[in-house]
Amino acid sequence: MISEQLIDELARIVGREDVFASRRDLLVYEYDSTPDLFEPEVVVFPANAVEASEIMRLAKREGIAVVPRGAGTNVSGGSLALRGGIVMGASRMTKVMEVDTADERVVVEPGVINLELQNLLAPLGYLYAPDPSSQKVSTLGGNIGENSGGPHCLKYGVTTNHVYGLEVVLPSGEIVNTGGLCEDNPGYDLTGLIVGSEGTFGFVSSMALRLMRNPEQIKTMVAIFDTLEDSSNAVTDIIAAGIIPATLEIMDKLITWAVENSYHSGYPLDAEGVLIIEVDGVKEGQERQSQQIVEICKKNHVREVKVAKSNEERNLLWAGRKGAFGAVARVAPMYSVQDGAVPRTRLSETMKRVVQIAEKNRVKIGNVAHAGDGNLHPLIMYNPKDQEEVERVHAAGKQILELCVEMGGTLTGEHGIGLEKQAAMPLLFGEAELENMARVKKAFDPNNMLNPDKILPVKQAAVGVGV
Amino acid sequence: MTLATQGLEATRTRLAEIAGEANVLTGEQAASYAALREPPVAVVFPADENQVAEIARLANAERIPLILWGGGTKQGIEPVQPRDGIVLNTSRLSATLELDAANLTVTVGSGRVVDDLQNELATVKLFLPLDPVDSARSTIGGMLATNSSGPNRLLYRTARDWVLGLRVVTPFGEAVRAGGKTVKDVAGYDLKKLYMGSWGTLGAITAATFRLLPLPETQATVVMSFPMLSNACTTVSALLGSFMRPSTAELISSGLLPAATEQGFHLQAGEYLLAISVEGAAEAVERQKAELQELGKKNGAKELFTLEGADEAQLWQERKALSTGTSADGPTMVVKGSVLLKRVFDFTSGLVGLQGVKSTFASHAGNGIVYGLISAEPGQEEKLVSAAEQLQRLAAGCGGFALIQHAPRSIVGKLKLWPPRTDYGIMREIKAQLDPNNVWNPARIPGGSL
Amino acid sequence: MSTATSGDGKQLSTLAEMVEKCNRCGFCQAGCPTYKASGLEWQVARGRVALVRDIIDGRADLLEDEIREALGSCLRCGGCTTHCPPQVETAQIIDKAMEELVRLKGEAWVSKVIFRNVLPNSGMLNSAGKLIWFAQATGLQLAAKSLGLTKVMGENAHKAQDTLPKIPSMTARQMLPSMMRPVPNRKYRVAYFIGCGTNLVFPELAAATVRVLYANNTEVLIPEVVDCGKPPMVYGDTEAARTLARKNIDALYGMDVDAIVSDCATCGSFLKEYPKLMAEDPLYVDKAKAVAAKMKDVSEFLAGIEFNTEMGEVKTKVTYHDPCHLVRFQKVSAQPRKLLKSIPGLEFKEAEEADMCCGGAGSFFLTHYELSQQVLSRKMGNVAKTGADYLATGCPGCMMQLGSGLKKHDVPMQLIHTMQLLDKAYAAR
Repeated sequence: MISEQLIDELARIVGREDVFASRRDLLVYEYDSTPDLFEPEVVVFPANAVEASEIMRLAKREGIAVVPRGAGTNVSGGSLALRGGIVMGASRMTKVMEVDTADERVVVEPGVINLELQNLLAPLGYLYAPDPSSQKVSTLGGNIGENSGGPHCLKYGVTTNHVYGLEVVLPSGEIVNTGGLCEDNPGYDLTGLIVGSEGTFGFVSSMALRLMRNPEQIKTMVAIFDTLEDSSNAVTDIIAAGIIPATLEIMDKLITWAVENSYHSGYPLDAEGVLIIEVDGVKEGQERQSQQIVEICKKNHVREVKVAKSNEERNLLWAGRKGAFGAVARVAPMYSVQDGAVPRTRLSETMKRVVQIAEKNRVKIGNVAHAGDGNLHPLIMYNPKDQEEVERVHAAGKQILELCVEMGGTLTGEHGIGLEKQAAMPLLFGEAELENMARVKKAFDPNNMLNPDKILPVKQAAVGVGV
Repeated sequence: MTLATQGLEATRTRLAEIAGEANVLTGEQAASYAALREPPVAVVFPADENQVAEIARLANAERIPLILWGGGTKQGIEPVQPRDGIVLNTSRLSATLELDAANLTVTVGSGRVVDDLQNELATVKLFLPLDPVDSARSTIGGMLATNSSGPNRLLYRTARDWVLGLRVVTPFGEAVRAGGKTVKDVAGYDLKKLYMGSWGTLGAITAATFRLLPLPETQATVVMSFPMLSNACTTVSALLGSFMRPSTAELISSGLLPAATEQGFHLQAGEYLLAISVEGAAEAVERQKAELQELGKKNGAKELFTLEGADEAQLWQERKALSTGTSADGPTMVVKGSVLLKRVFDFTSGLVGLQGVKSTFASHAGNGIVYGLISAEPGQEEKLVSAAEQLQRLAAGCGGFALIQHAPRSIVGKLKLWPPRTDYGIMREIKAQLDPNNVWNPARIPGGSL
Repeated sequence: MSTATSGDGKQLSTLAEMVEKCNRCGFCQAGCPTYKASGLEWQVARGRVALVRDIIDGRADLLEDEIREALGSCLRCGGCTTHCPPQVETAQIIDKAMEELVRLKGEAWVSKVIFRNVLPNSGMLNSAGKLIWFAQATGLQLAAKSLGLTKVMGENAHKAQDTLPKIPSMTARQMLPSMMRPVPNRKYRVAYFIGCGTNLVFPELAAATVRVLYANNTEVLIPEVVDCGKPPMVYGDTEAARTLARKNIDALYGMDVDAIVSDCATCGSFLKEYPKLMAEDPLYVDKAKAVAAKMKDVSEFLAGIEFNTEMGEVKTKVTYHDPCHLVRFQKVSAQPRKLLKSIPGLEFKEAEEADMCCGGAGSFFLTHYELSQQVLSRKMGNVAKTGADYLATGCPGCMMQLGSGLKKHDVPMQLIHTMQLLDKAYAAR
């Protein structure tokens, strides 16, 4: 329990109205978007780096953990106050400080919501490439913490490829600037190190992000196949033909059925595999490229290829895909999203094996994947009240992770390790590798107080894998 | 940091045991690997990461300074260098460990020469979208460790955007991986980013896995000459704000390219060349070629040339050859400025206006990166020192910084090699954790010696 | 251990089922106006639902002030559910929780008087309306004192004076009879349900609605109805709501009309919910269904018939605010736009977040003044960006809030109801 004195001290730093320690307050900050609950001792919202720095110093002095929080929509347990302590939220830091399209850069505070930035840029003819499915709620600070991706990272990369520099409050309370407004900064790439560090290296208080001009033209196509295998073979062939689309998404029959029933986007209810393909860039050449893609799909026994003829049609097709989780939520009492990544050439096989895992564990799984980069999101549907089924879901989740590693892939493509996959880290990394990471953590946080005991396995039993 | 415990001979013997007698150079032969340092006591050529690991363990135990050597093109210019170090040459770590063309990935040893890899990739119609200017000599490992890039970073960015995984030997002598083979990977910390640009201070990169692209269908370069630097810079701004997706925008001052080339473009003294490349689908390239002609004319270009095929290749060869930074005429300094895009004009005009020295530059104008070649009369090295100070002040005023990449030994001690930053402290913490005995490239301390 | 776990087990078990659907994805943050205002987790559906879950599990007490504050500060706008993958019905969950609260705590006697005595009595309500008009001339003090309004509506009543517009001296019911007339070439006949907002505060809207219906060859009947019942429902007094509903059903059931129309989104949506409200009353449930089946928002009615497109020109730029009770509760949003866009000379400009709640939410602007203003402020920002001349909408409740917002934020725009714009167009022939 945190003392009244400390609460008063925190109130002096951020203002009384931005310190929350009542029963009710703590109850609503004990969760993120995972099933586990860990109650913090106090929740504070600093207005800027200086306040965040003072909070860190206080925490360091008192030996209390600090857990950064954006929207709290983390799906791997990264925002959970595992060791109690102070939850430091970014909700007051919501300013877009600078928009410079000529220099292709924005400077923003961590509490800005991804979609809000996109909406601000769109009328200017620019975009911020990382567009995770959570973009309407996830914050840019949260995106930094998880190195978020999205459907367009096949061509444009993930968050770490779009950050020029950060202002970070270190666990010592020191405020440093990593990277910069220009490129090729001397010294170590601390920006690259902090992106994806899941809030365990520092509290990001400001970010300089890279903008891109809107492509001149975007062509969106939907290809409908009668087998999942045909659709993933088409993916392989498209890439092999030297075409790098901006996006290549796969949905299987279960997902497409749920999506169509919810949104009526124009998908057939009985398609075993649906591909969403987008090419973008300079107008010239796209017609031929689309034709090539259609030919390749035909070679793979495609049933039909639809090309979106207007922005409205395009949006409807995407609404279907981006609403996949939602649609599934309507047909199942509860669902759990997995997140594995394998080399693209092994995706087809991996999805087949996922289906086998589903059968073996008698759980229902739908497959949706960023096929272009081998990042799959099996959606396991289940009834949370059925304890026995929950066990089988856990087992299936663990087996999927093992499968991804077996296929030469990784434990997580986008969602992070957090708590959820902590115990699985030894599947991928040996002792030496984990120790190497631990050394870097030690450099940032010698007292292990910033979002402690996440990512790297600890001696205590970690939370279960998967669900 | 001595060989006191073991002695010189014992060390050499141990190295020979690890890598084989034939793969250890000493004495005179080792001296040619001195670069700007004292000659190393030995140069060793390990064959694989296990040997690298053993060498690392030896160096760590004996506190022997270890210097990595790839193509030797960027050995650094820190004024205080260690004595009695070992140079670890990576040239035998050059095999292609896996080429998965269907997956668009390649895993290759860090000692592979960049151009060599590109040639192999071309046989399966792929390429690595990185073109550091010394690609004919520089190794993959060297390119990554020094964060080297080239003109096509305008479209393809830099190494950190193409590396999927690394194999590294840590100062503790462990062979570890960072990342893997997938495009998406957020498992654990992104240590690849730490090792890239670490200049050999945190261990050795022994192999890298890259994401590749299919070779573009076609390409072309439009070359424009400008009497006025301001017009050239305006053209670049207009280019960046247009629909076009160029792969390069090189702005080069006269006096750098071979005389014959400049004559071919009718480039007078005091004028500037802007070379813009486009690549991709044939229709897109055609359209952009035409648009670039319009763009140049509208912005005061004196003459325009479209280069394709062999002519185009030759120009880019010559551009690459500008990197050497040595001149027979007198002491030379290479300064790398990185400034805001909208300030490229201010920086470049300030650079060419420096007094008392001769200055030319080649720049990735669409990235704000300017390589200035500054030379002084023989015996006038001091002028270079003040030129460096001025350029650093100018770069700071243009929102960025200027690094000295090359300078005569006699003045290195008078130069500020590191711009002011707030994060040197944490960098040193990381170094202290990963290389507690300060064995690896000990001269290179983030921020410079205290 | 909270007393909420004892008592009506059925209520709690329904609630439990509803809250269990929440998987804490947090997507509700995208559509919640109070979250956008404060950034606090207990002011978004996910947090409120979590607290209800905690109440059910005995970890929190519904009677605690701050729990009540968290739940009561929900606008019931339904914005959360739009983004919710499993479609958790947070507005309903909060309604049920408030109902439970009333059951446990009892209602402030003043609100009981208003909900159970004043509202069902149209005469008394008219008098209350007149009283408010009079009190406005003298600064709301008399009414506040005589009805104990400050007690039931919190400290902020005096601050909220600026939201209550000038109340006209004549109600719509008093004014309309003089303009009613038979309709030759009649194509339709409707019963016009005049809500309290239209009746007391915007009688000119009623006149416009009637004229628009006449212009569409529609005969208008005006039944004797009372308050629709939504206010007591929101405060948890379901019994009072049912009493009101029965009176209305008695008045409406069996009328020989093609539709029952309303120009108030809230009334229309609540009447459509009468079947659910009366589900336990065997005497009224079927009649409720019949009434609900005929209930239509007036824009819904007009867009559904071949409405009269012979209009004069109204050269102006218009943007539209979707009342929550139209866009989400009745799924009516295309119809008002269709009608507006059919007006010659009218340029329609869609506002950002047009369907986000204005913060009025019935009497929310009185009980939660600060929060209501923060939500309104966001709406004003969005609306101002369109540069429109008129801000159109379909609910008197919204009209009060938006009208005060336009003034307070100096937005050079006039507030208007969709029917009033149509009225102008028909008049310009």
